[in-house]
Amino acid sequence: MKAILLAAAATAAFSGAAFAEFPDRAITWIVPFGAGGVTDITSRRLAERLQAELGQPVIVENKPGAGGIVGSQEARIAAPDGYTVLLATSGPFGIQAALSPEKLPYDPLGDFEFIHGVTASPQLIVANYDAPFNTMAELVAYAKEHPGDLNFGSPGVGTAQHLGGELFKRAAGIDLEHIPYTSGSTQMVDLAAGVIDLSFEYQTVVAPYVDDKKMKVLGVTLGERLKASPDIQSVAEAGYPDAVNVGWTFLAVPKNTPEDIRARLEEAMAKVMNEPAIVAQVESDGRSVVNLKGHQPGHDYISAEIAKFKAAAEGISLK
Amino acid sequence: MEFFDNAILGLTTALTLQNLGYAFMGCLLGTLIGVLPGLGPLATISMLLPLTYALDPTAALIMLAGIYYGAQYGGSTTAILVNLPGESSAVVTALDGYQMARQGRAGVALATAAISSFIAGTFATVFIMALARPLAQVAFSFGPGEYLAMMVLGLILATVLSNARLIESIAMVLVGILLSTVGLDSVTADERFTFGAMKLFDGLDFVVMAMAVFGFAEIVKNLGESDDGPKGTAKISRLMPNRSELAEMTPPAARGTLLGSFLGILPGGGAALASFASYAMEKRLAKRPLNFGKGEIAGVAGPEAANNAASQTSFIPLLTLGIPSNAVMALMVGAMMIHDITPGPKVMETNPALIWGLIASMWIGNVILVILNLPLVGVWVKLLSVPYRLLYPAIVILCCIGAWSLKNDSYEVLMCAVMLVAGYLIVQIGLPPAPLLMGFILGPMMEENLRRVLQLSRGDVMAVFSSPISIGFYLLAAGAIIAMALPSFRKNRDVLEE
Repeated sequence: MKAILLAAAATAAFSGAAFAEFPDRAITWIVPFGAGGVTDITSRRLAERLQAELGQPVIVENKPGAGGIVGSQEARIAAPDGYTVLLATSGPFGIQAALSPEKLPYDPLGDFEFIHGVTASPQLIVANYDAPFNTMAELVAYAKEHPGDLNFGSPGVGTAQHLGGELFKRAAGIDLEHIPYTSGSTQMVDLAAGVIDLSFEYQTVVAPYVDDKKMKVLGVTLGERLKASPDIQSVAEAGYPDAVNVGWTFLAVPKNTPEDIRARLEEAMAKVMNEPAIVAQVESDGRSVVNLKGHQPGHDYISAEIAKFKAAAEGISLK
Repeated sequence: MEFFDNAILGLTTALTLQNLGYAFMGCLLGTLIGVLPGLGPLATISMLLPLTYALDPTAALIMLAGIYYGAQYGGSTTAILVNLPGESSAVVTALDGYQMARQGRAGVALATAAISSFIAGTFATVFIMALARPLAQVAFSFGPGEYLAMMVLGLILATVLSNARLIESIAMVLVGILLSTVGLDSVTADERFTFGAMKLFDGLDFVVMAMAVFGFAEIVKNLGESDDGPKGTAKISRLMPNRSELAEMTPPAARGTLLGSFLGILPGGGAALASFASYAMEKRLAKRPLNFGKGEIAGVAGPEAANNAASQTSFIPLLTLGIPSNAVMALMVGAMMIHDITPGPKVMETNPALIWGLIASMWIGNVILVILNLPLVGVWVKLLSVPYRLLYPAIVILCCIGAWSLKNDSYEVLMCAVMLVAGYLIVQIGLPPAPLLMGFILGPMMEENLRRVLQLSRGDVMAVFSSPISIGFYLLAAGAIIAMALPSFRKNRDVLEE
């Protein structure tokens, strides 16, 4: 009898300890965009690996709306207990914060704690295959000779691709007309057909058109060349270091999440983001892993980006 | 001979036990989802996408495609039975299909939809196999100017969707366009009619609008009229169409198939136009155009065939160019990317079994759907004999779940309630809701393309008429206006003489 009681007490004590251990139930990973996009697919891959690290299900939930603001706000008002994590992306955390901070119901730097960097995606500068220029230098020379003639498309106002174009314009001192689309795919058709001249788009989006000789690649918005495609010139090499631009993502939790819970998430994410299979997967389509662990490095990275976008925004006629 | 090689490769891929099984599962799931009002293929495919990680990519795509056209089939079922179009294409089916159901011909209407869809599906499969590659290039000759012209024609045809007076239809189209402007401006990102509410930044949702102004408004109206069901719902007669009805539905279905097959190829919203372009055409060709909207079989057969053909040929830009022509196709891109297949012109060479297997599975899916749906007609029709005090709450609850699933958010459910008030008023005043929905669907596409044309021409208005294709569409639009003005003039005079 005594033995049984002791055993019961021991079990109770053990389960009590287990209860205190984070995580003891499923974690929700908010993706502030719809299912099926690159952010969603990447999130689902990472969530699967994170689940293995934490021993609890990590469920991806799509909360699209207002260019990512709706889902980000959802995470801000969630309980700061580590069970809701957010994929914070350069749109709602950087560009919107720079262009129209009054529209944001949250403060990207003040209301969240960053766990770990996820990915950085540079853009390829692509032109219609028959365009009369083949390099960035030729593009800039052509644009200077024909001011106001060239159009560049983007999947929408305030997207990373739009900013990529604006940053390049400023860095090269040329005039390009921004033509916003509402989806990336119509923009690609128009570029392939020669309706517009240029686009600053992600490699996954443009690859099939480049293979099919409907578009040609002029450069990549990075400081150095891509490991996977070393024949593409970087903007820095071409003399426009200020045109460096990547779409980035971080994993974040609401502010006031206890430190031990954050530490657990940070460790687990650091492991996941350094797994060779994950790194290879990310790098296969021109992206790279943002290996920044913990709140402060993420905070510093994002505040520098917001400052960069603010500077570019001065040239943009929004409104 | 390439055609036969491809067809054989496709059939041998699609007819493996595994792929056949997934095609069946997709069709079954799609039908069930389509029948549940408000739960569309978009929500379902996005929910199921993660599950396809584990599947072989061909099986995954076959299943997802099955869900897509299964849901199209199922969506017509609710449109006919309870006037609830879950998809833009089913709005048109609801017009005459629901009237047929009220006359006790629900079984005939459902069978007509199934048979027409099957005819269209069979033709579209052969069409894709034979002509996918050359036709894909058509997409490149449609720039913003051409889409603008097509949308203008579409909006003019939208007024044909009702028997109301022309001025009333035009007014409703305009109200629809006005409602579609809610949200962030696509060029300047300015807020329009959002009252500062973040949830309105993306505008109003089509599914919410359709459920509110069609289904919910109908339910509230019926509740006001009687205790148990709408008045005038006749006894159900036959379930299957007879010989003369079959003869009556075949020509419209054939014309709808051709129209739909072509419009589906255009990625910028061609498929959205298919069903009601067909309706407009049938109404024009009919001997008794005034019967449209009162349960005319051609008004179900034509649009159903057009919509099924278009939903299949809308795979052409995806498979041959990697361009998703609508949100469901964009999810298909996602499904391919999960399996490290980048959709694009090269896929046909690198993964021929996948592409041809998927195309062949479309036809197999159509066979499965007919086998699945014809016997089910009896079951669905039985649903109508459920007392309305049980049926209505069930429909409302299902709609609310559907609305919630759009964005995993209760906000859309509240929006349904708000729009219901507007929808009820519209129905009570006797204004036609279908043109409103068409204005709502086509308005944003028209605005976007108009602004793009003007931006590209740096403000030159004449750029709108710069291509022969656009001018062709404008001439058709002008012709449609004249044709519409004439009979309504005659009609009014007839009424006066009586």
